[in-house]
Parts: sequence; C-alpha cells; structure tokens
Amino acid sequence: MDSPTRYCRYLRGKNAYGTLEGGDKPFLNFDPATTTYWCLHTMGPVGPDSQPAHLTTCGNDKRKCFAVPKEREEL
Amino acid sequence: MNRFEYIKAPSIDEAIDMMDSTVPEAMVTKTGGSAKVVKAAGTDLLDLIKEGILEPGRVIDLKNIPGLDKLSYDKEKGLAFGPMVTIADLENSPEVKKHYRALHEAAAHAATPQIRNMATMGGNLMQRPRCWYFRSNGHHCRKKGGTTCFAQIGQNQFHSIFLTNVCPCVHPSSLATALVAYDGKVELTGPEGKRVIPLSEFFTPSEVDVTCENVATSQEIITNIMLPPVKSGTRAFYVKHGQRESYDWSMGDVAVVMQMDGKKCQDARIVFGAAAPIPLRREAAEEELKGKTISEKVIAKAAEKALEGATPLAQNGYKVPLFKNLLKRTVTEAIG
Amino acid sequence: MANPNKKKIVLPVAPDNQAHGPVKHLHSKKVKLPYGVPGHGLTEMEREVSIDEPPPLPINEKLNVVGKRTKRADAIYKVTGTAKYTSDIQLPGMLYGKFLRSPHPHARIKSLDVSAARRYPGVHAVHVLKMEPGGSVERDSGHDAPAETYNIEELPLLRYVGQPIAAVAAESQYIADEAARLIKVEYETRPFVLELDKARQKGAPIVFEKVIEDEGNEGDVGVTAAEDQEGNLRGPSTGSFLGGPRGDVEKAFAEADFVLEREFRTQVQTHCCLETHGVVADWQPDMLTVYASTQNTAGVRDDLAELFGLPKSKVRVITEYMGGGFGSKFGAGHYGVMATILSKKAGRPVKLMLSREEEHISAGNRPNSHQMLKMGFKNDGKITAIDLTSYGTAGVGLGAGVGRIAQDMYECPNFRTAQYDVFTHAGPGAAFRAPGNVQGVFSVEQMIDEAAERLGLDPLKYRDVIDKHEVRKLMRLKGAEAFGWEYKKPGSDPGPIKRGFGMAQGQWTRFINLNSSATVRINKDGSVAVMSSVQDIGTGTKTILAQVVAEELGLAAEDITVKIGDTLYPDGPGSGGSVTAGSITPAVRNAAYKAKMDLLGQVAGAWDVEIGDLEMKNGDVYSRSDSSKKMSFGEAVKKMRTNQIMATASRPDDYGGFEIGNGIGYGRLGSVQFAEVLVDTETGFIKVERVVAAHSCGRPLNPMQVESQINGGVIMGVGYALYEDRILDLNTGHQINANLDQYKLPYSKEIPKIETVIIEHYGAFSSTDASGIGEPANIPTAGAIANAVYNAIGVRLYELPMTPQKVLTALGVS
Repeated sequence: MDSPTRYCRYLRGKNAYGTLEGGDKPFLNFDPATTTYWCLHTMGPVGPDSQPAHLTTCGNDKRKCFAVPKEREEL
Repeated sequence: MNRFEYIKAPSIDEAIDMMDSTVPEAMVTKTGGSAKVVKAAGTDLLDLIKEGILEPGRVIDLKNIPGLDKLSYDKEKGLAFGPMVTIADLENSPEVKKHYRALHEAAAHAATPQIRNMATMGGNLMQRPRCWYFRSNGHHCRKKGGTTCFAQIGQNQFHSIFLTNVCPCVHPSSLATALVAYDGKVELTGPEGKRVIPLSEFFTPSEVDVTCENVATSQEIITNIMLPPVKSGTRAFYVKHGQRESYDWSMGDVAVVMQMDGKKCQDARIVFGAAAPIPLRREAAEEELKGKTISEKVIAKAAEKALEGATPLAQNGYKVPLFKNLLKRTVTEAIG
Repeated sequence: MANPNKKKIVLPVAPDNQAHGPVKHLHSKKVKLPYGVPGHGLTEMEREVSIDEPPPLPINEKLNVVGKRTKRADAIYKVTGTAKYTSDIQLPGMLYGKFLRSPHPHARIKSLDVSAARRYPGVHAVHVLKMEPGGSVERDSGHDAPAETYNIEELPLLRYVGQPIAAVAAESQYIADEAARLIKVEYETRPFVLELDKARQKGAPIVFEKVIEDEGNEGDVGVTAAEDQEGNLRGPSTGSFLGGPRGDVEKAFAEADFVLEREFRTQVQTHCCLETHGVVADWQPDMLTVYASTQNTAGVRDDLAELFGLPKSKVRVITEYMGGGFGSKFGAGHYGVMATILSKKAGRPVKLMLSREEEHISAGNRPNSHQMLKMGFKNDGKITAIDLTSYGTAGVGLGAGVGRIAQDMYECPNFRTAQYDVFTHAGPGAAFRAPGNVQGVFSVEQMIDEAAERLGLDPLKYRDVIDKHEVRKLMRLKGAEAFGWEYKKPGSDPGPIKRGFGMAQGQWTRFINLNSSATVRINKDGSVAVMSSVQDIGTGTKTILAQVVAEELGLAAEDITVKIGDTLYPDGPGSGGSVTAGSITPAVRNAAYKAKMDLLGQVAGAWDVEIGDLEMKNGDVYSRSDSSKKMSFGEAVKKMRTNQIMATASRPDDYGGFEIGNGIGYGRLGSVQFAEVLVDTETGFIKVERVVAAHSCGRPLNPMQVESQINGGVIMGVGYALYEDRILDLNTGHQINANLDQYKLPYSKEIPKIETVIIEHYGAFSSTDASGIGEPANIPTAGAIANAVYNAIGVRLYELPMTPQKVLTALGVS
C-alpha cells in the first residue's frame, strides 16, 4: 500500500524540533518556513539532479535520484 | 601557505645583503616564491602569507639583531625608537605618555593587547592595507598589479574619502596618524647607507605608485623613528573611532598637535587616519586654527575646512560628518 | 506568482502522531507535582503517570543538588587545556583533508584535472564530487595515476562561492592546502544574483532553472507547504505547526482605530562557532569511527550508516567536547561525508576541519529578511489584526521564514502571513539559534513599542494589556525591578551622547525529543556512571546529568561519572531547539530511579525491611522507621549480588500529554529583556551598557549554567544587533569579510553588564520538569536594543545591524 508520506531515503532536514529523516516513516515537518533541507548524497541543498532538496520535491519517485526508502526495499 | 626559507639575520648589514624586495614588490613583481623579504614580528607578514597573497622564497627575521628595540627620550633631541620597539613599549613608556599624549593614545587604541605586545613599530609603518579586496586571494586588484579596483565599484563603507581615484584603500597604521602629526621622521638603511625622511614624505598616495604605500626600496629597512622634542604649550590629542571599542580597525582617527599660547593657537598639525591611502594632513584646517583664539566657532570652521575636497564613495558618505565631529572632539580634548 | 489552480500540497503537521499515539500504561498512579512559581501562588497539579515514574521532585529549595549552583563537571579540563575537542584529535597515521571550492557564484565546470594534486608528495587520496544518483564514484589513489578526465555532465553546477568541488587528503594540513590548489579547473561562468530584491525581479539570473513538478505526498492535516516556485521565488508559507491564517484580517484592519505599517530588514548572520565544523573519520574494515564536532552524535551516525550502507552498529560517533554549535552542526555535513570517503580511499584516518573562511561561506547562516508588517490596533490597545509578509534568502537553500512571533506571542484574532524564500547564488542557510523568531522579534517588538507610544502608554505596561502569558508577566515585573525601569521620553537627553532604555520579549515552543535514552550504572566499588549519546555542546549537559543522578541517589554531583557524546551508549537527543535538558534529564532521572530501586531491593533484602522504608540521602542509605539501620552508600553497594546494576530509561511522554504531536509541549518559554544604551549622535556609535534578561526554563537545574547560557544568548544578540553582517561583493559573489577580523563579533568591551532574572516555573511536565534556555536567551535581545536606541535618539532604525553608518544616516547627518 502506498503510504501518503514517503520520502527519498537520502532526504534530511533540520528545524527547531531537530533533525528530520526521509524514508517511509512520517516526516516531521513542523514548520516549513524555517526548515532547511539537504540531500545526503550531495550534502547540500540540492539533489544529485541539481534540483532543490525539499519535502515537496523529494517524495517524487519520478525524480531520477529518488531512492526508495529502506523499509520499502525490504518488502 | 607556501614553503619558504627562514633565516635569522645577525645584523642590519647582513639582513640588507640577504633581502632583495619590499613586500609590495614580492606581491607584484617578484612573485611565485622568488622574493627575499624581511620580517619584524610578522603579525602582518604571516597574515599575508596565510591569505595566499604573498609567496616569499625567503623570510629574513630581524628579531635577533641587537639594538633595534631601544626607546630614548631627550628634552633637546626628542623621542627616538628603533623599529623593533613594540606598540606596547610605546603605550607603556612614561615619557611617551607625558610628552606625546596623542602618540600614547594611538598606541593604547591600536589592535589588541596581545597584538600590541608582539607588533613592532617598524612593521606597523610597513604593514599593508586592510582593504578586503586587497586581502582576498580572489580579487586581483590594482594594488596587486591588476587593472580593476573592486572597492570603487563594490563594498566601500570602510574606504577612503580623499584621494580615491586610483585606489581608495585606507592606510592601516593608526599610529602613523599620530606620528605624522608630531612631524616624525624615519631613518631608512640600505646598501648605500642611511637616509632620513619626514614621515609625511615616507608615505605615498596611490597616485604615485598604487602597488605600495611608501618610498622604501628593495633593500631598505627602517632603522629608527624620531619625533622632535615637544615645546611647552604643546597640546595634543588623538581619537580613534571604530565600530567596536575592544578591537577594531579605524573607521576614522584624528591626531591634533597644537602649539598654544594661552588660548591662542600658534601652530597646529591635524592628521586624519582611515580617510585616505596615506595619513592625511589637513593643512586648510590647520590654517583656520593658526593665530586664532580657539573657540567652538573656530573649531567648527576648521572642521568644515578639513573636509573640503572630500570625494566619498557610494557607501562611505557617513565618514564626512564623522570626521568633522571627531576633529571637533579631538581639538576640544587637546586644549581642554 | 503562485498558480491558484495548481493543487495545493498539504503537509502533515507533526505526523508523528500517526505513527504512534500517546503511550498507555497498564498501571498508572496519580501524583501531585509542584505547579507554578514559588512565592507567586505555587500550587500542586495532579497528574496520572506510569507506575514506573519516580516520585514527584519537590521544588528546588527542598533539594540538595538539583537547582543548586554547581561547578561544571569538566571545567577543570577545559581551563587547563586537557579537554580534547575534535580539532585536538590525533590518531596514528592520520591524514589531513582540504576542499577545493568554487571561486565563482555561478559556473559550469568545463574541465577538471587532479593529476598534479595526486602527484604532489604527501598526498594519499583525492576525491571529486560527482552529481549522480548512487553517490560519488571513488577512484583508486596512487601517485602515478594518469591525468583523469571527467564527464563534465557529472560534475556539479556551481551555484555559490564556496561550493565544494573536490578534496584531497595528505600528510599535513600544509600539503593538503597546497595540493587542493593544484587541482586544475576551467570554469564557464554564468550570470548570478545575490540580492534579495534583485533576485525577485524579472530577468534576474535564475538559481534553479527548471522546477520539479510537485507530486504525491499529501497529508490530511496541516499547513500548506512552500511548494510554489516561480523564478527565484518560492512559497509562500502561510502557517506553522501552530496553525494557519485565522479570522478576517481585512475586516479587522478596517475596524481598527489605527493601523501601523512598516518595513524591517535583517542581515545574514553566520554561526561563527569557535571550533569550526569538522570531523576525524577513521574507516576500518569492522567499524567506522568518527570524532565529530556535532550537535547530534546519533544523527551523524545515522547519516553515515545510510550513505555508506553500514549497519548503525558499525558506525561510532564520538563528541566528547564541543566548541560551540548554534544549529548548523547537525548531520554528517559535507565535510563529514568527504572525510569518510577520503579515509576509506586512503585506508587511514582523515581529519577535516573547516577553515574560518570555509566556515563563513559554506557551513550555514541565518538567512536575511525583508519584513512587511502591518498591525491594527484599537484605542484600548487591543491588537485587531496582524499581517506579515516576508522575503528572505537562505542562498541556494530554503528556510528563510521569520518564525512564529507574529503568529503566537500576542492575542490577536485575525492573523495572516506569507513568508517567501528567495533563491540567490550564495551559501546555504542553516538553522540558527531560534530560526525565524529572532528576525520576527525585531519587527513585531518594535511595532508594539510604536503602538504604545501612539497610545501614550509605557511600552512595558502596554504589554501587560496585550500579553496573556502569565510567566512573562512575572518576568516583566521582576525584570523591570532589577533594571529600575522608568519610561523616558524618546530622544529627550540633551547633549550629543544620548541614553536610552528599551525592552522586548520573546517566545519559544517547548519541544521535547522522545528519542532520548540513558543508562545509569552503579558499580560495586561505589562508583556511578551515567551514559548516553547526548552531547554537551558547551551548555553544561554533563553537569546537569550528574546533578540529576546525584539527587536521586543521595550523592554529590562530583560522585557521578558522566560518559556522554558516544553512540555506543543509548541514543540521546540532538542538541537543537532547546530540547536537551527537557528531553534527556527525565530519562536520566528515571534510569537512576530504576537503578536505585534495584539497589534498595537488594539492601532491603539484606536488612529485611520494605523497600519503601529505605531512603538514600547525603551519601547514606537508611531506614526511615529504624534509625539503627543506616550505612553509607559505599557500604550499601557491597550488598549487591552482581558487580554492577544497570538501568536504562527513555523519555516518557510529557505528564498530561502534548499539545501537538509527540513532542510539542504545552506552555511556551517566554523571555523579557531590557537594554540600556548610549548612542553617540555625532559618530553614530552605539554602546549597550546593560541588559537585564528575565527568563524561565521550567525548573532551573543549575542556575549558574542557566545564567551562563543567558549571557551567551545576550552576547550573540548584541552581535546581531550591532556588528555581525555577512558582506558579499556584488560583483564577484565573494564574502569579503569571511574572517573574524572584518566579520565583527562582540569582544570584551562590547559586552554589556548582564543581569539575569530566572523565574523558577513548575509545569508538572516530567520527572525533572526542566526545559531549555539556549534559544529563548537569544530571541529578544536585538529587539530590546532597537527599542532602546529609539528611546535614546527618537529616530527608529528599521534595519540590522545598527552600525554607525546607519545611525548617522537615520539622523540625517550624512
């Protein structure tokens, strides 16, 4: 079953609450205006496809760099 | 930082033999590890090397040369000190404090206590400007032999308001402001012997040669700095204004040395620091004071005159009223 | 601007809720906990908690160790230089890393040749970052390798000066620095844009040319994401976890007695951690060990395990001492990943610490802001409406919002915000001590002062009218008392140097990280240790953990050995969001309580008494009912049947549950700061003479350390208000003050006399009832100084930092 909250496993974020991790588990997006995102691969705010790393873009499995969350891979 | 040879010179003559360039030459003409330059404390030289804008082949240390760190005062001859005298030495000298108040104030407000303990007066006069483009490895500016002045078209809030045509960097020595006000002289020693020149001629504006700030040549070392004796009736003061009090480069500093006869000013020397690429005498303002009984009105007139001819850049117009106010305060404090 | 027809993507708010709800307990008990402020109507609150929870801790006055001024556990090691920070770590055979970074704000790499760097004597590994899914391709090291060519399509598009391109590892830092310079790169430069305003104009160079179509990921609750992107503009974000717009703003403005509308600007501030970002990575076949200057050891471990495909058990991250972190030291970082790659390639440990310049340009910053704030007021002072539009740039990153001050601090039925991110060709932003709220206070608190003046009210008293936060009311009262507050007419001083008084207040959410665990170990020799991966980033975490354990076991703080900052121990929280004290100390107390119960059980067996009859206090274990039964802790542990007792506990839910999700607590951490300034109207020089900072962090565990953190927050706020500014050259994109000489931090004479007022406030939230103080301490300072400057000169400054140049310009003397 498709989870409505599924993000690339390499997506990371940080806001006042703490560090956020991608993957199948729900992503703690408390405060979009002050959350910074980055991609583990580039360790910068862009993905390997040179586009922004963000919650609204890194759940897109059509993106060529999208990596299936680990939990899903094991299914 | 590049690799370089390091030698401690045993004497001035040997140091002169071993060197072949000034630091400016090493940055423009003798680049790529070919230059042989001298260092005193190295507070500025090492910064330049670490910033990657100076790559000397040899660094000759003057620290071991005896006799360069002497300071003497004589009622008749005035003050004299060697190039290895530290800023802290000047700051802490009772004679300087007593007779050369503006110089004492300048020493006490330079850099940080730690740097004042290390930095020498020779090095202080020879140090390179702090212009952030000059100090940046990524900006090949005119001072480094390039064709562009990045400050004229860029971030220039801390730059010159006078002599801004070629390179609007400000001279980094705030002590020089006071030394020029006292009509100091400098002794340079080279292969042909010694020469003594007034500090007001030692510093050269960018219009003369944008790549350097003074007249020292490839094999010359400062060996003495002299100030004339102060007469009774001399009133002097120095004020430095930075964004921070603890430690900061000057946004504007003013030294005033006045010869007073009661309330009447007989002679005056006014010098601005951080206003131009050299410590800048303000003769027109001096004229306003000379022969006058000093009043608020006279001071205000002098302040107006002092800023005549200023050509502030896009971001440093604030320095015009700043200098006017600093000059008023310095004169008031000097005679008060 | 945003396409209204496009489907709105709605992001979940605290979706953690869906993963696991509040924990249910088989056996619970009702306990009464202190509630409120001692001396100001302190009462008790009854809570139903798990049967495993330790008994309620009384107020500080009745305790022996907790709440007492306690010397830092590691002070002696820090002041004698024996403390080993990441930058001090030396391992056998260790190499040093250095990055090659982009010298251009926008460029494509035309060619890249690392052969000269590879041949340079002393170089052991070279790595080029490649932009391909699956990560960086490693190449064999070897000095005689032929010139390498790269498919330029694989190399990153360079979008800011300082963007990493490649790195080398060599036998000394000098060799590494030199070798990095030998990497030959040809660039094809492109037009770039750095300024917030220019980046929004039509025809501005675009940072991200094509926009990814947003897709999927639709939650069912929450706020609209900042998903719309046009040109360099992205957003707006219209809400936070506290909700979205409310009421009818336009109607409320129409009904207001007066409306204020102002623009405010704040600058980019860089973190300036004394210890720069960096790691020492040691890749071994059986274990990757990383010494990291990080705020989150467990997070670094998780990042590296994920990226290198290692089990978490084979990655160990250690942070024994940490030289400052303000939000940017989360995750492995580009330096951490690079050091690990280089170590793996070279087969030797690699130290990669950023230089001060790299720190400024590539390790994060507080984004700038341009805020358009409009507020409506009634003549009785009530705020009828707040409308806040903001633009900010986090460079190539996102997250430049201005926080939740306008939304949440004052009661106001009608609220609306639109917070936009603007992409520019500059280094990415990062979380920075109260992200957004520091910027937000600067605008809101100045406007509140303007409204007070319009209403003819003392700004302090006016806040009593509009602020419903009870603890903050007390802070105003006590702070004003300590400050000697007396409202003075703006600009009323004669003479050129004018004195001014101002105040501002702040607010921060109580965040709790439930993934906070600790082990307490009692050894038979009487030694006691507490262990967790939580790190002490300089705030004093080690000391408060020792205090909590000591209080529970009736020992002294120095009797407790604190072993933290190592992922071999149970996971602790990351230290950000001011969560550390509130998250880890209940876990530690509960673990200590469990261990104590275990020990007392064994002692009770030996004495044949009930466990409940036993007490541990002042280094003794004794029976309450039989005074003959008493022995020292050292004697008692000899009754242990095993060599050690170990107990582990994790942070339970807040007593009484959470306000939102599983981690946003009830109650807000308020703060009120007062500033006294001198403004020289002839030179523009501002001196902050005095700050009184009134704060609450729940139960203060160690008042000395709370004061210390408040001092740090105020000092950072002074820097933000008056000095700090990342200055970019608009023609080349370089930060020209990327040092600590021309990037100006407050030094000794810039630091005002700081007086702290700590309100001891009990909320009955946990077994320690502690909260954080790191961020609250920094939030109101710049706002308070700005209000004081206005009070001094009668002219308001709407832009930070308040430099002499800006003061002179505002006064019209330029």
